[in-house]
Amino acid sequence: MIERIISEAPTFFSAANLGFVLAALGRTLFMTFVGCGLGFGIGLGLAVLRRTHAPMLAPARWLAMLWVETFRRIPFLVILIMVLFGVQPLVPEISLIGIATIAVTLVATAFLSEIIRAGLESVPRAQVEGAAAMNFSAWQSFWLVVLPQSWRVILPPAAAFMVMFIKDTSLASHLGVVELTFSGKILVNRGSSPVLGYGIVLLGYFILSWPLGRLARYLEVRLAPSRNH
Amino acid sequence: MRVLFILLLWLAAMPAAARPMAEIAASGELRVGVNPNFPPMSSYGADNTLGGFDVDVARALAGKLKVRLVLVPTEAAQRVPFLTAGRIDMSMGALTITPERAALIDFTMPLHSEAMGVITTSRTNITRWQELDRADITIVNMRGNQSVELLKEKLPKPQRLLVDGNADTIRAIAQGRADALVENVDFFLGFTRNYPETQWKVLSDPIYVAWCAIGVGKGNDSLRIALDTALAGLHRDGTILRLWEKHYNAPMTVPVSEAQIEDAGKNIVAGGSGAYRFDFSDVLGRVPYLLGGAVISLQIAFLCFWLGAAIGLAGAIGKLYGPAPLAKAINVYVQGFTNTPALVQIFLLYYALPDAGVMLGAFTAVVIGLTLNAGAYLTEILRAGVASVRRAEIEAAQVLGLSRLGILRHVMLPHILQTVYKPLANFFIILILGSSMAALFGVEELTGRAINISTVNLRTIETFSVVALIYIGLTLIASATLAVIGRHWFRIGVKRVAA
Repeated sequence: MIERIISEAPTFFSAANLGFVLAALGRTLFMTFVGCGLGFGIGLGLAVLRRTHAPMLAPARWLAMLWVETFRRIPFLVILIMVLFGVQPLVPEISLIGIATIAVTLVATAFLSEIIRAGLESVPRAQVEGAAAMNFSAWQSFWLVVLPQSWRVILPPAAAFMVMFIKDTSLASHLGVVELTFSGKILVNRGSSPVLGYGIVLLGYFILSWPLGRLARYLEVRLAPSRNH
Repeated sequence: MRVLFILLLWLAAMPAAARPMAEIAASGELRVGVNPNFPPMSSYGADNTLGGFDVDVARALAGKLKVRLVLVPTEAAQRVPFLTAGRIDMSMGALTITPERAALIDFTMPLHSEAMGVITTSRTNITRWQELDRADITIVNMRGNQSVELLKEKLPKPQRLLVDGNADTIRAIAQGRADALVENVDFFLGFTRNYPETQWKVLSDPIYVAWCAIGVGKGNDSLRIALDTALAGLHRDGTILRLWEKHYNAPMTVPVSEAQIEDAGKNIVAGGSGAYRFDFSDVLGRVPYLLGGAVISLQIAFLCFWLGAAIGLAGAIGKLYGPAPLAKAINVYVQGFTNTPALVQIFLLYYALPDAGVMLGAFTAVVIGLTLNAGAYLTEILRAGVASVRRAEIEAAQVLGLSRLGILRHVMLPHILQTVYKPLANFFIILILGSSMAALFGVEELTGRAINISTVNLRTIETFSVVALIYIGLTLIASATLAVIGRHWFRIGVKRVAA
């Protein structure tokens, strides 16, 4: 095994192969960032919706809850396959990476909206009542009182979720998206040693995930509400 | 679910998107689905463009129809879905004519035959295919290939291993996971060159002959007739056989006959054009089979959870109370496994370890991979619990003369469980969902069985809707059970009366 790796290494680490893996790494980042970014936006909307009390919005609140509960209870692999076969007839021209990004968005929305909701609820009720007493509108109270204080509760777990999802996007290789994992699979199918092919993929994920994980932990320490008052 | 339902209704209202011949001629291009990884049918050559038998036939057909050829890479399992979605006008890639497919798409006259033979190695002492019918033989096959079902009739005794790609079948035999592949030998021989150390052996007596044709959208008669006319010409002037010999370096074992050319269009199943109609009948009949898969999913989750928790507890205690080098080593393990995907970790266990002489079965590789992964995450989770035990309490227990195990059992574990019960319960749910990746290694758990079913009945949306519901039910039951256990045994979530 060792001899094989040593004899293959010079041809394996060619500029063409490294460029191929780097481009795939870019696609992994794209799926994660765009999917989680969209998921954060929609999740924020769902979280705010679930805080409303208007009877008219009751069905919408119910739908939002259903979304959150559904997509947190289906494996990402199953969601990927369902989006592939569900979206394709509607938009035949969509690329596979587009389909994977939609799947990431669906799941990220469900998880992030729960994280955001917990953050919004961490702001004591008395502050909202105080804002109302000072004649703030509902929007002003949300934008000026609740949201600024909830960021510190929302950001660390949201960042941690995104870092976790970098690794989950590896399942998109099953659709044929040429992301990091699939690039390793292609190299191995061309005859490279699996240790080299999948080893470089592991290294790629580590390079993406480790610094971002550190950043998330730094945020957690930095933003943690002080316990001294 | 509601969102899903609306999506499904929307789908149902979609008209078939097949483009008739006039529209294709007007646009000036014919979109042809070919397999990107199927030499010598079609594959990317050294110049990064697609070439092969299918590509040459498609080019000849486009020439006869006087349109430009646009090649669309289409994996084996997408050959029919891409067609029904209207993403491509015609589908190639050795598309065998089957009744299931004929209900969803239409076929031209046969393009080539598919004579099934056996690829094996010198490890087996077999000379005729009938000798494969033994229980100690494992036959590898590709999901979605119709030979899977036929083989069950002809060779009922051997075990079978299902993999996802052409290259994976040959690798499975080279690594000794399987003994033989029963398929169209020509399609697969190319991959044997990746394993020169293995002594390959080909038995050429055909087991049966199937026919492959070009698929077109259901009811797209104008395109089908145009293609049949063009194909008849290519068959009769010998172009098809010439191209076959050019790419396979051997004549087609059983050529397409004049009678088959005459009969073109007679095997079309009428109806079914227009809006997509949902048909849950097949998958609903297989719910017991799927539930059997759900039991395997739960087994994987249970095994990985308990083994992972043991690793995690040892890791957490070692990290907090152990000597510095041990704590460092545990940290390397945790960082290594939590910063890389479980899927790739299992790929390494499954595909790279055989090079070092260690052969793991698919189930074992998945359980070991997920356990090591879970152990790393659970070390982090349990560390918070172990840290919640105050040193003073341990010292008090030591003064009382408790043994080390007694301290762990009576002093530490109750504390730890109080602190981490909820994150542990959440992690168990994550493991149930995570066990689905076992499907990608051929383990026939819930997702694996769903893929098995949908590649045969071609009702992917219907099949996976049912599977999604089973997962939702499974995790809801698990969550509820864990909440009840937590409340009764560990008093989690029970409000304590202030003393």
